[in-house]
Amino acid sequence: MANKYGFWRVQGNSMEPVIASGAFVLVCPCRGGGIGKLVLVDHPHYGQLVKRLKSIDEKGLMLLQGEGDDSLTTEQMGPVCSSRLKGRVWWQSRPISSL
Amino acid sequence: MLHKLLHTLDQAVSFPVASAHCDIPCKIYDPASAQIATLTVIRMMDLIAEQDLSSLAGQANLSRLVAQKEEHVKMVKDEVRVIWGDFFKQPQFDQIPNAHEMVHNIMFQASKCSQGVDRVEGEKLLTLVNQFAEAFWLVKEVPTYRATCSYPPSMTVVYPKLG
Repeated sequence: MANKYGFWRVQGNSMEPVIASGAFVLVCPCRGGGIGKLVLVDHPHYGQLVKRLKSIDEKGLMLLQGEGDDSLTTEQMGPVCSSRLKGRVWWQSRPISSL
Repeated sequence: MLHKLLHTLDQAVSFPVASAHCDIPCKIYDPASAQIATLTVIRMMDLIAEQDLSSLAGQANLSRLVAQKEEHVKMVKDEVRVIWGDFFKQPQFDQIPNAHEMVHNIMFQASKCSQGVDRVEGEKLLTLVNQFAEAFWLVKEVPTYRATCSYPPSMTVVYPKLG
């Protein structure tokens, strides 16, 4: 489950145009739910990822999705245990170059 | 302005980085690394069997050989896991319906090679990894052939017929 509040710097463009590369996000603990929300996940293979929470099944397995064409697909990321959910993105900054 | 402030703070305290990138993907997959690692495991088993354990030098060599065997067992598992986890998707699983069982068998057999020095277990691992390689090249629509590798332990390996 989620850990603590904190700022994270986003690296990469697979969540554009929703989150620009170089943006800072404020991640807050959450207690599950949040389907369709942006979340920070500790993926067992890909590490710390910011993605959109697509679904959670009855076993607590999450499916994630990116926004950009270059994103890892839901299938590539595979189901991720909800215990790896670190938090929900509550706020993001917007780099000048993305305006 | 807030972004600029965070940027300044980031330079001072280094916020953790969350990846929103695509992990390339580079699309470079090849079971050859797993096959070579398996051959190394067998070779280490052979060299272990040759050591004179009554001498200090033999015992020292034994620890080096066992360490290499362990490292290469892990390499077999890692290489196979990456191909199964990253390259194989539903169309490939439809084509190779026993893929999950094949990978699990490799993991299990690799562990046996870690736990012991019986060459027979190493040979079984090579059989399984060769089968995995054949399945990989089958879904890539590349024909394969079998040949004896040109270095010890001089065993039969599945190779792709490229070009």
